[in-house]
Amino acid sequence: MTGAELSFYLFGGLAVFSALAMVTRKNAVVAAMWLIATFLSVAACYVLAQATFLSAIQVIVYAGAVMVLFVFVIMVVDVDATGRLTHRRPSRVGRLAYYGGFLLSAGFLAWVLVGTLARQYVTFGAELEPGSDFGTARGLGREIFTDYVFPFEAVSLLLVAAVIGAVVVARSRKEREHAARHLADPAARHAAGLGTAAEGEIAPPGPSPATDFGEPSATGHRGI
Amino acid sequence: MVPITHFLYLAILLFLIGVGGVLLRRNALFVLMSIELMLNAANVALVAFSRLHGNHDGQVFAFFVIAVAAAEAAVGLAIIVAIFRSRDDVDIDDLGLLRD
Amino acid sequence: MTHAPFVADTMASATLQDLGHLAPMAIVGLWGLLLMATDAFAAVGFRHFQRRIALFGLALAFVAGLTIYGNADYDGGVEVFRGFLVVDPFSAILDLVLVGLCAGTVLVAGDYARTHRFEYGEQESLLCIATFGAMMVGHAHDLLALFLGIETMSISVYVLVGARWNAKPSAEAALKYFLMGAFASAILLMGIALLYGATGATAFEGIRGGVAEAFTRWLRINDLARALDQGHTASPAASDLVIQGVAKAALLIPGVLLVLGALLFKVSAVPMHMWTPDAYEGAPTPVTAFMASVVKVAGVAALLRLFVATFSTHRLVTAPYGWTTAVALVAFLTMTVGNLAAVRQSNVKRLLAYSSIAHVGYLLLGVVAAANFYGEAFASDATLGGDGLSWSRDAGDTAVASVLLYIVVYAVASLGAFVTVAWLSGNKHEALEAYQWSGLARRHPGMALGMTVCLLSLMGLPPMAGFFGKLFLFRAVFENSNPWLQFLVVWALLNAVVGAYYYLRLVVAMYFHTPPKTAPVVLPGKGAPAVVAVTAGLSVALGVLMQPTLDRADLAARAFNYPPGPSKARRVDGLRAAWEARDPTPPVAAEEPSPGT
Repeated sequence: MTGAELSFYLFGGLAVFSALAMVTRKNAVVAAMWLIATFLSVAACYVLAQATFLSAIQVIVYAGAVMVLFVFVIMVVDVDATGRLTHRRPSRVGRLAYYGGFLLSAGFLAWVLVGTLARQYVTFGAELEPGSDFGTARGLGREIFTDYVFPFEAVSLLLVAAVIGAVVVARSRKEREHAARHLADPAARHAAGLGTAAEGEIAPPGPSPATDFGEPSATGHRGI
Repeated sequence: MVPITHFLYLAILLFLIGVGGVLLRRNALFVLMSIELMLNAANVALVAFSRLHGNHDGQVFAFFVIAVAAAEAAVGLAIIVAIFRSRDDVDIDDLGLLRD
Repeated sequence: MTHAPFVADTMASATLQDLGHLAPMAIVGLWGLLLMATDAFAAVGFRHFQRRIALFGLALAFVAGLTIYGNADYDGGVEVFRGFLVVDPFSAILDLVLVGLCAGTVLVAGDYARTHRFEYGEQESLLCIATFGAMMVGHAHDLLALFLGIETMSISVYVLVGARWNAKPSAEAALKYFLMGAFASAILLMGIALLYGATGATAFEGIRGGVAEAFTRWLRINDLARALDQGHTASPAASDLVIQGVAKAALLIPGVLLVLGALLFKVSAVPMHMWTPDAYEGAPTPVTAFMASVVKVAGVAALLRLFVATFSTHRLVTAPYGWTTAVALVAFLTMTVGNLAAVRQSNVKRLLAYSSIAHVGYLLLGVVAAANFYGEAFASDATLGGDGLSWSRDAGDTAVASVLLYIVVYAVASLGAFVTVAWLSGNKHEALEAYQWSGLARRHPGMALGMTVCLLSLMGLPPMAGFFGKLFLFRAVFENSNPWLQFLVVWALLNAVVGAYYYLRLVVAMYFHTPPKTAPVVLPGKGAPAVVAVTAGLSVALGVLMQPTLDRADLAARAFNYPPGPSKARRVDGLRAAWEARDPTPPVAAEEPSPGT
């Protein structure tokens, strides 16, 4: 077993182990740390597949920036409270269908993917010249700025949308009120959510059912 | 030399672990982390196939996927923060407004 | 490297030329950035200017789209950015439709946000960027374009759904939509990785070639197995070649299935539809209109571009390895579940959400039929000879045309219906319960009429466009000799009757029930009435002028599964020539001449 093989199985095993650890942890911070371990191990595996540039990007962007964001948000939101963030209480039949469907789809996915694996042959990939810049910053950069120049520009648009969007969604009420505090026009104050009407409240649901058309919503949801 | 197939084993194992995390965990943060894991697993497959075919297309694809994954994480975390803020003053049982 | 300046020069001019071909899309994307910049400088409270700027940009994009739309230079399809995207009659129609739908949303979104007190200046910008993504899907000629387009659109829409900070359901719907959408994206990506592994390319042309090669080898393995059975021994080189073939086909089919699952999620087909009613209900209603129109159009475009045009070789569409069986089953479930669930709803937004699911079911039937025809065309090369080939080819084109027609007609009517729902709302409150709509015709006859026309078009009543959409779609599917598909058409007709029940219920409530004593609050401004008037007008006009409309759809779908090139151009030009023979003044004649191409 050569050094490359040894390190692949070492880091691959580490990646799988830490991924398992990540999904089974209770504490979100610990899980995030395990996820960082997975990303770093995967970065090591990239090097063994001659993807050196991607390996660096993986460490910087994924294990670095994205996971810092994760840990930061975990610190901002109360982890215990978020434990019930997506609390759902469907009916028993609904729950059964839900989990049945989930397990079925997961099983199908596993079956399909394992079936893919079972038919693969052992190959070491295409022959590469010893000095070629396959996977280096130089080789990848040439591709990105020639053939892939349009997606490169398009993805910048996506990133702008994501950054601005994150601000739009996560801005707190206080910040919004602060931004709108100078408004004199009552209509503008109203539009920005300031003003006299009680905020955050749902208006009464209008007239009661007067016709034979609709009973109030079966969900008990009064509309917003 | 490591066979490409073994990279594929790694990718699919990570992907299935991620799927398991998405389906079994209820906490949105864990689900988001599992999705990131799935994206990473797909990247491993792309890189391995890029090596298999000896062209750069897979690696460039993986490069763009990393950008998209970062954007997705930013938006997802922002939504989680927004939910957390909106729930500061409400009962937990209030959730599930949108439910059949 | 010594020629670097020269290389950069030619590259820049090539890039500019390609951007010229993509003018509508480039303008919409640029306007997304521009609107973000103007928002930074616009004082809080003066954000209604954003709408004017956005509408100006969209009008510009629409005009740019018109110059490409009628231009015979694009008949054969023009590959831009080295085959990353393609500009052809199909994408030209989609550009116009998507820009129009985006403009419709922009007209209402600002008023809605102001009235419901969550006004924010980034809304128009995000709508433009989402439309940019949808247009990229329409132009996609590479898996990367498809993926990036879908992601650009989805990420912007997640934000738009969750932007309503003063209502809890908004963030909750955004979370639900986001988690499911991101999960689907991850599955899409894994599928793409497997496809790339099987074919060694991400461009659709390369994939098409790789698919053919994988199956050729697949066939060869049968010969080899037979030879081995008969006691022959195979040379190591031959068996190696064959084994490689097995591996490729084994990667290909799971890849196709995973991508299919993810795309079916994006169009909210039934096993993956759980998020739809919740996300549609929780989102601000103009955003719901956007999701029901633009996002759906993009999803169907992705299915057509990737599955009907690229994965339509005989072996990929027919059993045992075909994807069409799965999609036919999904179509059956989708229309049934969508319609039955819609009947139970008294909440108008949820009702329309489920009805949009049902429409996806009809559309998927058309997708299956088109792929089947193209698959037959592949197979009949050998068996039926020239006539069968050209018949299947034309039938496939017709099926694609009817899907295109249906999705456009559906999107227009759906936009109108959801905009009416957005319009009937006041301060943080929407009249979502059906009883609140009773007697609307007496208080607001114009809007009630517009809503009625849109609903009737969705339902498929004869003078409206929706009727012809359904007619052509079902006829195209019925042409197929597959008895299961013919049964599904009958089933779809029964479903349409169920659909008529819940649409008519709402119409009856508006016209024949006594109005409540208090007048309903409605959105100020002329934006919403204008949108409803235009969509209702289009729903009627497209129906009355059905022949020219169908001609345009036929032209867009002509030679849909051909790679861009002269042979495609020849077939499209053949259709134009046939029109001229039929009619001295063809509908094309009115279009502008080409810009500098």
